Amino acid sequence: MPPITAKNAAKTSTAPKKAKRTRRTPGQIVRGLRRRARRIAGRLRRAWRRSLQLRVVTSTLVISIAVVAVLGVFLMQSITQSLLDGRTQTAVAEARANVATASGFLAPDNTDATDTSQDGSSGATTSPVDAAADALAQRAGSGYAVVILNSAEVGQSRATSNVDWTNIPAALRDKVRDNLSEGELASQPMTLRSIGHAGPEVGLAIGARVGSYEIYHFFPLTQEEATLSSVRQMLVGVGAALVALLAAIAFLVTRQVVLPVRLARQAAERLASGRLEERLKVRGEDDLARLATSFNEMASNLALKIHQLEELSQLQRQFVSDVSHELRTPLTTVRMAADLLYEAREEFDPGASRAAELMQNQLERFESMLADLLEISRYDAGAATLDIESVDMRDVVLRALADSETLAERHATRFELRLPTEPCMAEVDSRRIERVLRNLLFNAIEHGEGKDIVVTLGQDRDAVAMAVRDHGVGLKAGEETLVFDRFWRADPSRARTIGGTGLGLAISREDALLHGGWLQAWGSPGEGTQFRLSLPRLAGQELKGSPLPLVPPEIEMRRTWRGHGTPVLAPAMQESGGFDVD
Amino acid sequence: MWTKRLLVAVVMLVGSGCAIVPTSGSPRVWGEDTGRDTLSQPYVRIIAEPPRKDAEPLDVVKGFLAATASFDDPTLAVARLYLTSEALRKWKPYDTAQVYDGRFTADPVSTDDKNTTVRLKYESQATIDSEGRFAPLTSAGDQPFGLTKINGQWRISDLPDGRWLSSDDLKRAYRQMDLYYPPATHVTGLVLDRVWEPIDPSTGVAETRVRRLLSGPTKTIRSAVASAFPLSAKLNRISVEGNTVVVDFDSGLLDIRSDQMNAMKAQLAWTLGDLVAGRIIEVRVNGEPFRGGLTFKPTEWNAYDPNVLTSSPDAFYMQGGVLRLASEKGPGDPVGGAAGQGTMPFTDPAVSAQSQRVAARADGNGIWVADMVAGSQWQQWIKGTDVTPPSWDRYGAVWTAIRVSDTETQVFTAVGPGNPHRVTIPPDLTGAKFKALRVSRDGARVAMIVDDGSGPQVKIGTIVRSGIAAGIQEVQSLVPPRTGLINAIAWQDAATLLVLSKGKASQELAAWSVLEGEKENNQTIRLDPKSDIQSIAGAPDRVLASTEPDQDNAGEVRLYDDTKGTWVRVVGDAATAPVYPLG
Repeated sequence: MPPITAKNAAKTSTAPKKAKRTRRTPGQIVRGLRRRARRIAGRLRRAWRRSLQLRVVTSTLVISIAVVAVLGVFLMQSITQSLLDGRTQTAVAEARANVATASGFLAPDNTDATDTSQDGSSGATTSPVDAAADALAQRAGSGYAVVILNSAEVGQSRATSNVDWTNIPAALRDKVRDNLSEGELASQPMTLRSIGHAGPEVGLAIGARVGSYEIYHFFPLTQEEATLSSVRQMLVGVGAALVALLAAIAFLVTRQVVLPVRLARQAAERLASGRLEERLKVRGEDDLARLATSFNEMASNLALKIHQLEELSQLQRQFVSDVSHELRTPLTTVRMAADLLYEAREEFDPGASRAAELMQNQLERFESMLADLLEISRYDAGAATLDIESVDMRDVVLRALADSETLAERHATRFELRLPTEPCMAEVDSRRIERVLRNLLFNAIEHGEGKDIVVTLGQDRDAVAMAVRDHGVGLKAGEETLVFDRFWRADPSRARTIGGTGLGLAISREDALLHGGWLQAWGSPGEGTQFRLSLPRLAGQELKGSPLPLVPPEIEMRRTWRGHGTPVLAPAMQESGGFDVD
Repeated sequence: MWTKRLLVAVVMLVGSGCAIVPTSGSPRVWGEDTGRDTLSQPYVRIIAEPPRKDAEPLDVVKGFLAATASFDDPTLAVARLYLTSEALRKWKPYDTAQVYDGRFTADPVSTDDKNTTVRLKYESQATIDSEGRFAPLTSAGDQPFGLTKINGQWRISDLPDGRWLSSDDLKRAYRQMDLYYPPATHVTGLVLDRVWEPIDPSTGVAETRVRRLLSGPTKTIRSAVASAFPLSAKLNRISVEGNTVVVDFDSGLLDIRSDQMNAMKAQLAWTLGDLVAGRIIEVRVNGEPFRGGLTFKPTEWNAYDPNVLTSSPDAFYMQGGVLRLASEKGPGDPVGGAAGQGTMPFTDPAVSAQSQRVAARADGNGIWVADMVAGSQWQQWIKGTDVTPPSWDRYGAVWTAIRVSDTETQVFTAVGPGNPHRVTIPPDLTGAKFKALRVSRDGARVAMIVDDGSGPQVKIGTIVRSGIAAGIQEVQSLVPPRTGLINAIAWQDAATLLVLSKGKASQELAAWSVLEGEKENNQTIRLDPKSDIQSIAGAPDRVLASTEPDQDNAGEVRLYDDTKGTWVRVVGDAATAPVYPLG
């Protein structure tokens, strides 16, 4: 519970729920909304990018909405136009007939009659304007309204029903009064208002002039309006249905295309993951069926080729293994003969003695190469097995060091040993690990240019790791993986000084993999090289991480400094770094 | 194969698409037109115009009168523009309206160019008081309108109160409205009241009628009737929904007593009358159904007809000293009971409601009554020597006026033999001589031929009942005193009285509208100049008359044919004294 202010406390006491809600500030709410919107937008974008179907359906929807809207507006306009035109025609005809009737009463030659009735000489006759208005009112009924205005004489203006005569449009009135000859009519759409409850309605005003009288007809267009609004509703409904239908059609059509493509994609994925027996179902004879056929052909061809290659490589391995075996017997004989010669070299002349020595050396190298070849062919054949036992890795490291001692002395190289104080137990085949370490050490001595070699042993709960670090020429970028290739050589011109077979690191890597561990290399030109062997503590366990860094800590540290160094200091540091390397 | 079929289908579709308007089809039945809005009858309004610039005095007065004849604006804002500020203060526009037939003359403008007068000379005049009652005043006259020039424009400075309407204005802007109220005596039936109301364009005729109905009867009939509507009831509006006319009241209607419901419905049905013919009326209160939905047809309330009689009422006549029932063919049969036997000579028979009894005058011996069933006897109901012919009212009472002395007349009513009740009458009538007294069929009015020395005249009074006692009040003159004779009167319907009079030259028979004090349509019924009429009887749309015996025939009973304007013989052979029940 966050602390609440006094004001909030009062609120909390009355309405705790409300207070809880008010605790979220508007800014938080906006942020929350924005976050949610971003998330939704991201999801949509992803869906948009990933789904062909969504794209097709959406674009169909958008285009069809546009088309239907344009069509609907056009249709509506033309229907409105024709309906109103028809209604106006009828209204004008009605108004014309009424004006003819009215002018019978109101024609100028009847003005005498007006005067007599005004005099009241005969009480029975009504004034002409009343007679005209009566006649028009009877004709109009409740259908429309009529207003008769007279601007020349007073008291001669009449209106029928409850029309509000003041809503005659001013423009129409001017038109009728000023420039409308007898027999002409002028019409104008307007809003009809009436006295009383009824609200305003749409209408049409038609004006005419008879002598000094102006006659206006007001036709309500409510029925037309109702018709048009129902037509519009129908158009909107039909348009919406049409758009939905088009979208559904697009959905179905794209589904027909997308579904086989999706199946083909899934099959390709499975094929890529190595399941070469994967095939597509072929239905029909269309393009998609042909795609499936081609895919299947491609898959079977691939499988065939891979199978052939596998057989070929199997043959080669077999050949290497056989050759190695076959070479051993004559080699043993040659070796025995060479040993004899070597033993008796003292008795030869110096030239022959030197040749005997040379032969002895090269035969040793030939033997070890043959042994390595046999070893690696065992790996290739999958015949290598581990002889697992729990050992203290410190002993393994020390044994390997002892084996390398002589070579190190020859190169004037010193070892710097960093071992943990407590025992470092792991289930490994100690013979193989020792060989790996020995290999790494020989390698380091060979390329270390006489500088110190750092051997580190590290451990954590699940794994142990050994790192061998030299300060020689190092590796160029990209060579970290090449070093493990068979017979790979950093500089082809460089001769092998210690007579490595070129298979050592390859065998070491196979050994590490056999243990479920990693053997990795790091190198940088001028900085030296570091090899790291990481192994799980228990055999068969998966290795998740290594207790030691692949890149030596001091290099890592220097790199970090350089990255964060101030611009002023940077050159100096670079220089000093340069000296370090030298 | 299928392509051919498709082609045929497409061609057919295109072909049918060409004919947009169908040229054939099955017959379709259209029901009766019930959607027509009969509530909004066409009418014409005058448009009030403000005074024009530099108008002549005559035009100012005409414009003013035209503006007052406009009922668009109840405040008369436009008409007030014609008045000077002083006249505006004094003018009372809502007093009794004057209806004139006349013309205007303008006096010459006075020497100081500031004042003038426009005179309205009228030949006839009538008034419509604030209750809407129409009363004719057939006096010619002259009404001056004083004008004063203010800021160069003529304005009316001196004018009479109330609106002045020409007869055209009356015809255009007013409508005669028949209002119906139940009698104060809780009986099935209605009494007619008639007012003239201007059309309010904001509400329409139907609403104006019902509003006027709710505001109560006019003064003359007020004490004889009792509206079923509570005083607090107000009308919201009337609308048409399909075939139903919805009358929406406010919550004041909820106070109605449940025994008044039928009377209320009858009042509505009869007052709306022709506006709701063939429709259904629904009563609502503030838009909600009243008492679980109150709908009814106007025809359900025909029994409340104020004319009481059916459309083809029985007609009776005297022949050979007995009363006979007229029949379509041949001579009529004598009625049952004593009146059909001729056991006692009698004159001036009157038949009660539903043709149950006969009342008659037996010379010098008062009023005698006999049931119209076989074996009945004459019974003396009212004693007296100088009695007027008897008249039945709808409650089964017989009425007569008796000249008790040379200076006093008394009116009696009786519902059985002996023990007649004296009816109170206004003191100015007690001295007058009664020649006839007839109670209207709705039992609310009485028509009398009286002579108080200034000549015979017809007066109409309202019957006010309280328990068994009755009185005649609100006596008004219908036919003014005249020289000559008024022979007979007879009620034709609830609002029309037939008056037979004889002037200097010839007889005149006219139907007088009792509630307007005028002859209907200002016309008389054309009479056969050869034979004088002795007595008359009236029923709705029917007039019966008996002729004086002359050299050609011994007197006969004739029926007036309204459309042709001629008289048709019903029975000959000295038939006299035609009579319809009541009236």
